[in-house]
Amino acid sequence: MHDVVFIIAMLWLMGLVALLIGFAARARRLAHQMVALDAIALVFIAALALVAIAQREPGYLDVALVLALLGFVQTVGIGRLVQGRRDL
Amino acid sequence: MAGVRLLIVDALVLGGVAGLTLAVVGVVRLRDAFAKVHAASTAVVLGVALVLLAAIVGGGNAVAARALLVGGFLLLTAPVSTHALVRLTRLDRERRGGSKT
Repeated sequence: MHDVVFIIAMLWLMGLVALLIGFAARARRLAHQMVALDAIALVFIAALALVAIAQREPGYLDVALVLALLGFVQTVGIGRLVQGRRDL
Repeated sequence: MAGVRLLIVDALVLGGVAGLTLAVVGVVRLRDAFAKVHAASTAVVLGVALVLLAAIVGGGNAVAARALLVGGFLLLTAPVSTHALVRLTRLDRERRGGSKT
């Protein structure tokens, strides 16, 4: 990957994260916030993969694997947690 | 040959970033809550999978193996978490008396 592409893609992904954080902060409903959090984890996984390609260092993808696992557990776990509650 | 491979990696990365952009714009801009979840669920296949494919093509053996692992895990778990999000959205809507958004 060329350096220019790496820098542009990285800045773009961080812009997407900022957009999602802004949306999650403004959203009132838990469902909307959970959708945004799930998407943030995915964008970070893509960014870690970019760094792993650029530096040819596989350790970053180990971090990405843990992040994928945590994102999954977070989404499913909170979905289960609020199942019986009235105030979402 | 190495130049062609570099260009392929560039194209895959840019395609993946474009796919993630589509998903994020869908999450932020679409009105309906189910439409938001639908847009978010495309992020894995349209965005992250392409970037991980770029890692498989252009990252060397160790990076490629781990990218395959991460991609397989994401493709397995994405439908489950999307299902959880849809159920959360449905619960939310039912408790609000079936109103939109």
